[in-house]
Amino acid sequence: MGVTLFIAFIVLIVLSVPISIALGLSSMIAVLLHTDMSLMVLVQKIFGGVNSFTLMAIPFFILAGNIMAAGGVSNRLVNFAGTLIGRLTGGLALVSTVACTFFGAISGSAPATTAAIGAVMVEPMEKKGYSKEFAAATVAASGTIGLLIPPSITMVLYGVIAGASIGKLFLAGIIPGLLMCLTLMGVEYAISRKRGYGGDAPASLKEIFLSFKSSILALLMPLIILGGIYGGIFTPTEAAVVAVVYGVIIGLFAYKELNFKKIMEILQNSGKSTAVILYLVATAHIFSYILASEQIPQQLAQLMLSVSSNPLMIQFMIMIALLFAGTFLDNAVAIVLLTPIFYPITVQVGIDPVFFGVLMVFALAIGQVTPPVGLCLFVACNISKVSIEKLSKAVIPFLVALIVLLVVLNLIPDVILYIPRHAVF
Amino acid sequence: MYTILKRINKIADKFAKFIVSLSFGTMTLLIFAQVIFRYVFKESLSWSEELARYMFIWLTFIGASVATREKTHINVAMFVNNLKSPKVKKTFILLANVLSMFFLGVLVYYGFNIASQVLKFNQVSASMPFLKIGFVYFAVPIGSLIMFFNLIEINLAVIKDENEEGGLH
Repeated sequence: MGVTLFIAFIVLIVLSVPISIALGLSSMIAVLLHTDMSLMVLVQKIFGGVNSFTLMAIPFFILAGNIMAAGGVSNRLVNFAGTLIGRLTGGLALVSTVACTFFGAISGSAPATTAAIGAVMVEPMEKKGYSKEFAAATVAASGTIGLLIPPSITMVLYGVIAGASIGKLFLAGIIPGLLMCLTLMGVEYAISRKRGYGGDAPASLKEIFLSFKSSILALLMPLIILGGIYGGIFTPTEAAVVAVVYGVIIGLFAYKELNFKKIMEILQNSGKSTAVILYLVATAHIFSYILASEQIPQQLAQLMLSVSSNPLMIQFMIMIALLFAGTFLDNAVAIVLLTPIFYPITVQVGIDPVFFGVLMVFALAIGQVTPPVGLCLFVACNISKVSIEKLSKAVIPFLVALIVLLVVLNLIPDVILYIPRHAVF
Repeated sequence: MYTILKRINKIADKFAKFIVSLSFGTMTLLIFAQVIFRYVFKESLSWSEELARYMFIWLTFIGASVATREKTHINVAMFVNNLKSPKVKKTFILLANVLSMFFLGVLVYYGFNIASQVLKFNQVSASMPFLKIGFVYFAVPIGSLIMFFNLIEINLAVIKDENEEGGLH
């Protein structure tokens, strides 16, 4: 039955059937051929897949991010980052990365982060004499920080599927997200130095203060979300809604770049993106039900354990699989497809679910900037009009640096687990 | 026939988009009201969370039909796009769509079955006795039906070569 399931799935994918439907249909074929289970069960499983209050955090985080992006936040974050570090060698590249880190704390998605900051930064970088490819690679790679810095839609998905605490996952993403920011800045600095990309004139203290003041309302948003969740004031889903309302209020009254018509447009577009992700979650629910009932993860675990029983080896094998999967799967797809397979294995060898969740999101974040299917690359191509081939080449130094960081995080769990362990509220 | 189908799909799409905005907007207001009631009025709403969840289910399945029409469902088009012969490519895309329609057909048939059964048993919501759970279940067959009809239209367009890219994206 497991073989039928995978063969059917792969054939459907090759035929270009949408992945959500391929997940449901391959399960249906396996059920029809090997059991006399009623297909009604499948419909119930699909329905049950999205009948979850926690999953509702996803549409609200998408909506909050889109509202903030339309409300004029990106410009303000870029200005603030600019006054802080614009003076350094490769200033504009560093500014892009720091602005992406700020923006990641508002948005839960990597492509959205690349789109928001890329739209503001690519042109000024070109004008300043940076190569187009380098500018595009910078915003593509920096966008992935958005997946690690809370809130993160990918982490919500993992948390729901693996049953891990979303609050803890969010906290655990902070340090790796910041390290990612520093690592990428290191790469940018080195390249800029070699190519002689200069910095801007240093900003005065007054300018720093003014740009801080104009972006403070946006920077407060993550504090409201995280503080609210850990203070026991709201659930992650409620925190996401509060973020939406907060975004609407500052967009309407403080930054005055939103109006009712724009909000309705954003609502509908965010609803559409939500449906794409959640439909996938719904149909994946049948798929993972069959995986579990056939004990496929357990069999895979046996196989891996026969190679090595060392948790670290298992961890690395999974990381390699994830990096590979990330090159052609969108990260939401990879999470809903692979968490039910890999999570039981990590439980068996005693790997912490929060630790593993962050590593998984990190590995898949790298997949967002690897060809052939890297959403951040596509977004950056669109903005900069650089071809995907040239961009794929320019992004290599960033990729190497991120993979090195991933290995380090694998070896030192305390880096990821420090905040969730020591956070006392 | 084709023009009638096109017209029906257009109306269904408008309905679907309306449901997406309505349920998303209502969900947001419900959950926000829940927070306000708990902290400002010191009173917990018992029904807001459940109702919002049901709207979320409608948003997902009806919104998926909009995504089918706009071809925004995630797929791997790499193999199909690299096919040299346009004829083979067309066949692949038609086959993919017909297979998708089989899946959706099953969801329509069994979805209506389940929904009407649940409706018959008069199962009601725990916190809102006036709301029959059967209505929530209808999201699956209705959304699937709209997707099914959109795929017929897309297939006809592929056959007629109106749309080179065909398929779902």
